[in-house]
Amino acid sequence: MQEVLKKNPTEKRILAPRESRKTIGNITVPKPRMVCRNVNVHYGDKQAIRNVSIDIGRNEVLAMIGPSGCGKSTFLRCLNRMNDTIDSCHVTGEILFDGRNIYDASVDVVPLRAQIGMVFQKPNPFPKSIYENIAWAPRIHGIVESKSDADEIVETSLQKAGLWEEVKERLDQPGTSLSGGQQQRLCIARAIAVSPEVILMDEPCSALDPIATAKIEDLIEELRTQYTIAIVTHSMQQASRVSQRTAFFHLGDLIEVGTTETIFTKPSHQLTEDYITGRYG
Amino acid sequence: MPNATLDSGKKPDAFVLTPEKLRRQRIAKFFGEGFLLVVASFVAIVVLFIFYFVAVDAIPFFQQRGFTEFFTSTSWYPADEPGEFGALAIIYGSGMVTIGSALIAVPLGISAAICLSDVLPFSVRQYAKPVIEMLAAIPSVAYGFFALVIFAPLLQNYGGPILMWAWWLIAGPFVLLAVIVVADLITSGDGGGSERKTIRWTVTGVLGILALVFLFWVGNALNAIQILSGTNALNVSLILSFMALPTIVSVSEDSLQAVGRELREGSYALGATRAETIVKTVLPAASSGILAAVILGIMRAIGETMVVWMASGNSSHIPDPWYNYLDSIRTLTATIAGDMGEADQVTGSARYHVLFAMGLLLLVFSFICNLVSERIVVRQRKILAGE
Amino acid sequence: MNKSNKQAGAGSSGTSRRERTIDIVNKRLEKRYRKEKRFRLYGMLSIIASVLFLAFLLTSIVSNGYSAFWQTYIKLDVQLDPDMIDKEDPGRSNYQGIIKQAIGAYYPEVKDRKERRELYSLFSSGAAFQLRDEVLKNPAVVGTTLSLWVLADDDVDMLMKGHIKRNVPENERRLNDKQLQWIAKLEAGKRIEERFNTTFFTAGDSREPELAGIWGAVKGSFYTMLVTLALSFPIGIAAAVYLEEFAPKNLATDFIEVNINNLAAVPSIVFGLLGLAVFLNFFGMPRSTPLVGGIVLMLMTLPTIIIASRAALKAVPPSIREAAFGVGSSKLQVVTSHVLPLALPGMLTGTIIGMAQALGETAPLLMIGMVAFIVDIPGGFTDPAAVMPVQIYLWADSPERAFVERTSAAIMVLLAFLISMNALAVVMRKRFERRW
Repeated sequence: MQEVLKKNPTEKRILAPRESRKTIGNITVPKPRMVCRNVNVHYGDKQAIRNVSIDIGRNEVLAMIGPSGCGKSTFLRCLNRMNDTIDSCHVTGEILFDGRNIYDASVDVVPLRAQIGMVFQKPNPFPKSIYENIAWAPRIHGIVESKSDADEIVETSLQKAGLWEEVKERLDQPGTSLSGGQQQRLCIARAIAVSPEVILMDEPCSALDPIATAKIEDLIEELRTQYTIAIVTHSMQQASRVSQRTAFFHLGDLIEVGTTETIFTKPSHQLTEDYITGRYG
Repeated sequence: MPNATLDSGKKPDAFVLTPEKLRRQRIAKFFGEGFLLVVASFVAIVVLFIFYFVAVDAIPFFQQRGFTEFFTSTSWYPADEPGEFGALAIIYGSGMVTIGSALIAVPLGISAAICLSDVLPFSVRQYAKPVIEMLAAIPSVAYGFFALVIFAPLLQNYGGPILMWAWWLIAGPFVLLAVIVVADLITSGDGGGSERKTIRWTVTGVLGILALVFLFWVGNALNAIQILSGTNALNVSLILSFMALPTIVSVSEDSLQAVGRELREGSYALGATRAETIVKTVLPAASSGILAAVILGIMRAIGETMVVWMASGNSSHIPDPWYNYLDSIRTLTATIAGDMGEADQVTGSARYHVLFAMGLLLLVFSFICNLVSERIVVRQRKILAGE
Repeated sequence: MNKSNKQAGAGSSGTSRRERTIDIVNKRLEKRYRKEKRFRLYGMLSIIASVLFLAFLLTSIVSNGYSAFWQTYIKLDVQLDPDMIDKEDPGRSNYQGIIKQAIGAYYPEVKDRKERRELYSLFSSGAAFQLRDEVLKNPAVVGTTLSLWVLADDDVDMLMKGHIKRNVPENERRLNDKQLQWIAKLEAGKRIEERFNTTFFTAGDSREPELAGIWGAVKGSFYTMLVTLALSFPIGIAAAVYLEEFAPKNLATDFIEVNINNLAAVPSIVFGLLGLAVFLNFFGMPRSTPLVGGIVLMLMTLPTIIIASRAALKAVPPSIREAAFGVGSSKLQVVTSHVLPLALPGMLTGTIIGMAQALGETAPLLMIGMVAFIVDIPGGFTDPAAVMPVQIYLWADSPERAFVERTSAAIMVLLAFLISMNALAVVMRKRFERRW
């Protein structure tokens, strides 16, 4: 980061002051996959997300960065209504997917989550066999009818997740018997198995070692061609490696959005620059 | 506002609920959760149900005979015409054995819990815990049989010597400890030195001899006691204490464990010995939980039926003198169990209803104990969580 | 002592202060260590006291009871005179008479009426039934002389086991000198021996100790446990699932939780009162049956099952639920496909422990009428029955020495059941314990 900045030193840019909480940068994209407008999230009385609006583009990787507690995970969980499982959480605003606000009363959240999948921070494979981990969700959604369908989906998903070669001989072993990195790839395969449009990833590599992390980052790059990915990450380096657009959150506000290169070389907001140069974190 | 039209590939409305689907989902949820709610409520309502039915059958007694006789008279002759229903001696009997068993079980239980949670190495703990749990698994009728057929004759034939041995085993260490402590206090002062040490040893010796004389004197007095009947309050209290012990031990132990490592480590880091850490830091922190454990143990003792029915002698009178545990007594539970066979023939009479009145008394007492101990536990949990 | 020593000896003031503190600490150290040892001793004493008491209890019961597994039998040569047996209805013939004849044949010297009665009393009254069963089983023996080992009376049994001593004066024994002589004759002729007491395991209750067995009580316990299990397991699981997974945090839920806790506080005898007042007197259900007993016990075991099940459900980590939600399962699917299977071992463990508690309960069952003397083996849920603990209680009341050993043996059998159930629960808990 420092080197990048040194190459392009902070020229005569007028940075938006720290106190300003308005979003800087272009929040829209042509032909977006998901559209979020004026999203507010409250946990009881505490407000966690303040009036965030952003588009998520087709087949892009959007990275959401920011210091701890800034709300990026909370915002990510709004995108597939995972926050519904928390009693005190209250979401207002619009999140459009395929033209419909997913928070509309007429929306069934169960099939929604088949279209917007999620990979969690700590790998959480089901305590079932590797095969069952993948096959379970397609089965309950009715995507597979027969065993051969299920076999096919299992193989395809594992291949797409880059895990097939490693586990094809032991599909009946429990998912929990794999290493950390393999478990996370299993979770990615599980999410892919229901053919989602969007995959949400909440700090997927924070519990993994560098080699496993590298494998997953390569995987994300491959998956981009087929899916839209929104990834929350603690690591700026990771964001700069895998994403095309980056959104910077700070204490519940979306401070700046832009292409990854811009954000990391020529940020427009003082807070963004302070964060990426490591003045706080 | 940006254009919000999207085009996806397939099934654009797959996740949208039709009103039909929505209604079906709501109905399924209503019935599914409703059924579970009904079942859970049923369990809750059973308690009120029990209370209601016992009270409904207990009130007629008080309507027929009033409150005074029941609570103040010791004349218990339910079979007479008209009967006398003075339950004071029976209530006293229940209280006597409960307190007796608490006196034995509480110190024993708390020290066992401390031992299990803080003192014993893990390997020994593996064996000690199942022993305590086994005491809980033995059915009450087995305890009753033991009390009646084995322990009662033992008390009757060897009562004196047993008491004497118990005296030595329990009071001995305490008295000797007291001697050492007193000797220390008397001779305490600044500095060491062999001079002071000699003084301390002499004082200890003198006090020790006095203490031994005292122990012998009491021991011999106990030895001479003749226990007329082995089925008495002492027998029951002893057996009940071992029945209440597992409850006290396990709840106290949970409480001690809940105190957590940080508090203990803080104390050790200051150079406290293990005993000091336990007595001065851990016990006060766990005190409310231990109190709750004691209350639960008392609940267990007062609600026990078989042992008291078989081994208390079932004599409805207040012992003379009032602290004479070697006398037979009668408890509320034993009266209900014993007299119901006859009383059920005359349903509707005072004889029938008085047993429900006793049941109501037991129920109310147990509920109060339960609520109090619940309160204490909840309060302690809050305090510990807040720390 | 001179404090001036310390002050003078030090160089800088800091060192002298430090010396003083460490001196003070060291002085008290000895006393503190002594307290420590005493403290440990007290803790150990209470554990040792519990161990000793348990050992005492178990050894005394076992030592009293093991002899019940053997029973004295006497060999009789029975002449099955065809005249004495009714060919049409062999079951109704006078087997008592045949047995008496056989006895008389072995002791031809006993003529006096009173003495004859004393002689017959050495044999169990069940001997006639034994003979009848043999004849019914094998009609071909009619007309032959059958050598049959019949049960001896319980007094003879007690003598053979040494509980009745031969060398005390005659009026202090239950068997007089003549009877001892007759027994001696049997011993000389090798016609008296101890065999395994199958009667204990196959017979129901009886007034005669040598004919009494626990099979009736075992079956009664079995049926009662079945009713209890069938009712309490589903209700308990459903209530636990509701409270852990679906219940909102409001007053109604608090109310339910408080009352489930109160249910655990009700004394066992009050459940008996409830059973009597409501099920027997109000609903008129049959007395002393496994059905009513099972319902009463169900109420007692519910709190145990609910508490254990809730703990098992709580132990399933939220990450599993999140993963299941994340792939789009409904609440029901999350609970049934993921949470329940993982919590099931814990729930089963709690149920087994609850059943073990219920198996040992006596007081409430006494109140619903199980004090009666029931000879027949129960065949169903509405037949009058006893359960094992009640049987133990009833036998404990009997004065015969032989019943003491049988009671102890019955306690041993009951304890065997209970210990194996508890051990099963512990094994299950260890095997299925997962380290999340």
